[in-house]
Amino acid sequence: MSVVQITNVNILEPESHFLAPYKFEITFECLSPLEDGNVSVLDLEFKLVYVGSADNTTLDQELDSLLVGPVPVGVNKFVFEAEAPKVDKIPNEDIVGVTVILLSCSYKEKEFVRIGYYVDNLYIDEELQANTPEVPVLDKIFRRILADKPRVTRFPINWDDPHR
Amino acid sequence: MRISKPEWLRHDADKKKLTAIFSVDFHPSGTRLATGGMDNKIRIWNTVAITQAQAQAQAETPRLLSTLTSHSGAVLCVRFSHGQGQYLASGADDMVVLIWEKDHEAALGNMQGEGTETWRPLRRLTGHESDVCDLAWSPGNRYLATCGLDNVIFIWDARTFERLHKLTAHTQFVKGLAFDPAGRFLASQSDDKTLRIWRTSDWTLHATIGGPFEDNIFSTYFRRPSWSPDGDCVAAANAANGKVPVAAVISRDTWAADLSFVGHRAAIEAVRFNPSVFAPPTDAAARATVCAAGGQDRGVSVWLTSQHMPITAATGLFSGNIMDLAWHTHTQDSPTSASASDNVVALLAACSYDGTVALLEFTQEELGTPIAAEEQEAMLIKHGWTGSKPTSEQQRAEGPVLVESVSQVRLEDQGAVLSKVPRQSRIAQIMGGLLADGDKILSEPQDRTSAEPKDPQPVATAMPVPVRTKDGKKRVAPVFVRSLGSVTNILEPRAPETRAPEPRAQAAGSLVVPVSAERQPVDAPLWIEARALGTRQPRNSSGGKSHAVTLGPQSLIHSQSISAARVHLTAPRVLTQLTHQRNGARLIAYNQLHSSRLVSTTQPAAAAPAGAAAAPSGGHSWSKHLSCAIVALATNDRVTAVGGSDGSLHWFDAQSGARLAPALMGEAHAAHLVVNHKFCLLLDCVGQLTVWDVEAMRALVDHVSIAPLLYTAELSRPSLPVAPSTDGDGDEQRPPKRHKPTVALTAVDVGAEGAPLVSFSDGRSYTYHERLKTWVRVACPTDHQASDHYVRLPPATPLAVVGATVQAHRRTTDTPLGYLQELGARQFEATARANATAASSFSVAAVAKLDAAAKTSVTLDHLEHLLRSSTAIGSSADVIKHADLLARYLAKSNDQERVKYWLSDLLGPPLAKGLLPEDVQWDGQMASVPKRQLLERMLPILAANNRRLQSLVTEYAEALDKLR
Repeated sequence: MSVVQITNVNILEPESHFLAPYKFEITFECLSPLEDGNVSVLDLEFKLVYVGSADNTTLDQELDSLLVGPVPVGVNKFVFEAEAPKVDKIPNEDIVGVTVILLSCSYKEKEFVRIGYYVDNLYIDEELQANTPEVPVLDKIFRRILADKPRVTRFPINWDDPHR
Repeated sequence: MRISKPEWLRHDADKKKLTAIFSVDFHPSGTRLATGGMDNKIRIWNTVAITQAQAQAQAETPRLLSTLTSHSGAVLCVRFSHGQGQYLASGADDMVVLIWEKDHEAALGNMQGEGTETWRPLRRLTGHESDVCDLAWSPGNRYLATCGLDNVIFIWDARTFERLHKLTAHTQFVKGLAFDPAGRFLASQSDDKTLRIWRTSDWTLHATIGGPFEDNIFSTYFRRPSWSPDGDCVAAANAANGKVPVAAVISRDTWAADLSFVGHRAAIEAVRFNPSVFAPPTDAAARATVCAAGGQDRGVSVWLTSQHMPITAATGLFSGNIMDLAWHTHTQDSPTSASASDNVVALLAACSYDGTVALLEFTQEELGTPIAAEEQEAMLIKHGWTGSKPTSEQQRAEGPVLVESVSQVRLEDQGAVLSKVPRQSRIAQIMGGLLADGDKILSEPQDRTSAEPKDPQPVATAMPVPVRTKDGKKRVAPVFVRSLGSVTNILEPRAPETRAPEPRAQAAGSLVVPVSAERQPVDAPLWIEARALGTRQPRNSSGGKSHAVTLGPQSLIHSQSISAARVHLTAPRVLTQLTHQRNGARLIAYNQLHSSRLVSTTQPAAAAPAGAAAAPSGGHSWSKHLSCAIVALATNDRVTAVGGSDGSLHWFDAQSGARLAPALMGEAHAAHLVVNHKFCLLLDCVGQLTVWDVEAMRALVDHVSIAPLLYTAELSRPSLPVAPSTDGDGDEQRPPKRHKPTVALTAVDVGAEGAPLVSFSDGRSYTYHERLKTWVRVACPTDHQASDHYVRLPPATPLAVVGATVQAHRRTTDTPLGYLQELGARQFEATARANATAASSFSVAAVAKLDAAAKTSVTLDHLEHLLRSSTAIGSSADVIKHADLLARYLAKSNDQERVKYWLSDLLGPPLAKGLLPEDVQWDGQMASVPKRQLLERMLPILAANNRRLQSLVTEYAEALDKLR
């Protein structure tokens, strides 16, 4: 069983401007101390990845990563804030539409949980909706994170020695 | 800046005495200025005549354009609609809101003979039950909001003028309104010292801001707030910083009052932002908003949000308080710009109780340049502004189909997003494949807990900010919320023979499973006998001799966790046969050493001999085999619960035998297992109590230890030890150094609402309060002995041993709490008699000395305690019974404040204004009885028993009537 369980992710601004930062309030439970023989306490690493294009894995962007620690045994929470994706790394035709962000957590560089959310990038302006411009008008694009539809994938890792 | 105060701009042309002007507003074009006065009239003035000196000189320029006379009370607010300014809305003392429109046909002037334009009332909006203090048009003129001294806000459709919503959260006069320019929120300000933010999407309360108004001691005619044109903040009138009156600037993101406009010497009645965003004179690239404030010190201050000081503070303008403010900005396309002289960019009008209006003209050098409308609109996009374009003509004709619920909106949004996901795409793959298949999607999310934001508030506490580590990574220390579980902490209390407490540093974080090496010396664990309880005892319905025998040694089901724990309930023995009967259904467990068979029949069949292979006959019967011995059984007509010798717990559907859950694994074996309704209660051998809602698959009470109750019982026992209620059965197998408690568990049950009930042989009963997260005592025979309702047994009552029949009795009685009291009294008497102590009679003697007033007071407290206890155990019948009794004693006590408290608590917001705390989280029910229904019962009792309460009673009776 995983020593760390994410118990709640509260997306603080699920509906926002496309270029607004992403904010997650993450609550997790730690069941036993995160430590090994030499280093006293180890951190968890949270990452947010934006899937830039459905067709090309290399266009995935790591929006930010955050070390969380020291982690006491018990229930803890923190806010993870990440910048919006770099627009110049996304193909124009992929900016508007549905994509996915992946919130992942690793311990000793081994990912043990990954939560995916749909993100819908859209124009609210009706005219732009009807005639979507080829070159996206960035400041008119909004994003909507489907907070209700997370996809949680857990990976079993060896918590004492993840590399074994 | 130029200030003018036209002498002719007044509301009482004929009379000598000036009449107060309560409200002022500019037409969006800036050509007209509307004022509303105490003379019940609205006047519309020609702005050009005011601002242009030469025009003023020319008598031909009409000054007064129209006088609107339909109100029959003082006009408290006038507001032009946005955009073309087609409508003027006004609210008045006569409780009516009027919508006016200029009549273009009536070129001949109006019938009043005053002015040159005709404005006719188009609609008359009724519904307010008192003065209408303020109103506001939403951006795009979709809604009109009105508020007044009846504490409510009405939302009207600004096209059809139908009433759409009534917002009632304010508990006192509502005196100001402002729409968010992005159209998402409405702000309202009230004498209840709050500013409330309402969502325009579903008209629910989004935030309540009380902080800036807490210190406020000033009363004002109005509290007119204003939203900044960039949407970033809302300025609130009549706030206070200590004793200093200020206008609070509340930021949109956090709803915190980060800034205040300080400097006014008396309360601020109104604040108003200029509707344009400016590029300040000092820095053309920067953006600033302009806000004016005015109030009871009769001065006007004007603030540029890019500066710390007001750009102007005009004092001595008026001899009366300022009531309202209005702005107009000359933009390039506005008709007034051509006539504006001396690069005047903005006009501010202020009206006063003294009956005059002052106009302040601001130049470009003072405020800067208003930015283009497009840019300003773009600033709102981040706040969710979706454009001011009117809907298409077709939509307008048909009327939009209104979304009727929030969930509808959410579902529509989800559907819209998911429909865009292409089949087989990588995105679909990441999110679990098969996306186009709708049903699949809905069942796909694995972890509901991570999906549901349990905390609707954004972030309640300030979160630590990440810091950079040496290698450039961001790092943050998480906020510690709580330690794991509650089990380990509760089991820490020491035995009554106190020793020096030993520090247990690990306790808070250590895991539930005790490691014996760490917890080796268990000096004085409490063992508790629960012999009196029937669930575990083999019972043979045929009335013959039980042929159940103990299988194997008791150590069979002893585990490490049991020996390490501090509380032990008698470990269940494995018997060859276990029977449980209820409502005609019969459940028999046949045990082998490591397996068992469970047979359920609905008809009482003859007891099948142990080990009989044939299934009993009968229509509804089922049987199953388990790979462990059965030590505990409980059933009703819905749920069958079975506790196994391996510590497992199984749930089956009582009718069909279908399994309801995988085997639940606990720390220790079931000592007591109870089912009632859809709830299953488990008290395990280490004294942890859990209640599940089997149908909802949810724990209501989660491994709560009964240890605190045992320790309390030990401490409060009489000095003479009570004879232990048990013989030495099985004693020889226990560890020698055991501390034997003097109280025994007499009943464990779960109420119809899922509240656990635990009764002890000292007469006390407890329930675990799900929300308070603690045990609460619901019956205690040593409390309230002077109460008239203290249950005392007649001396001759036979002291039958209660025990096993408790549950059955408790459920057959209508009022379980009453039964528990009687039970408690019985046990208390029994204890007292058995020990020949004078405890009981002593208290009786003490009680006799109390005078009548003291007795009433004790009884009142007792009844309140009973009413609260009834609520805690979720017994409606007890709630009603005790509410009636309480009403009688409240009347008898003549304690006005106490009566008022109960009536207000039962009436609840918003009608119990001022009597309940503003932020009260009113729960409208006690057990499952609506509080207002209780109020309805109690009022006649109060009225009948004490006429001195009649003013109170009538007041609440009327309030209650209003709700119907």
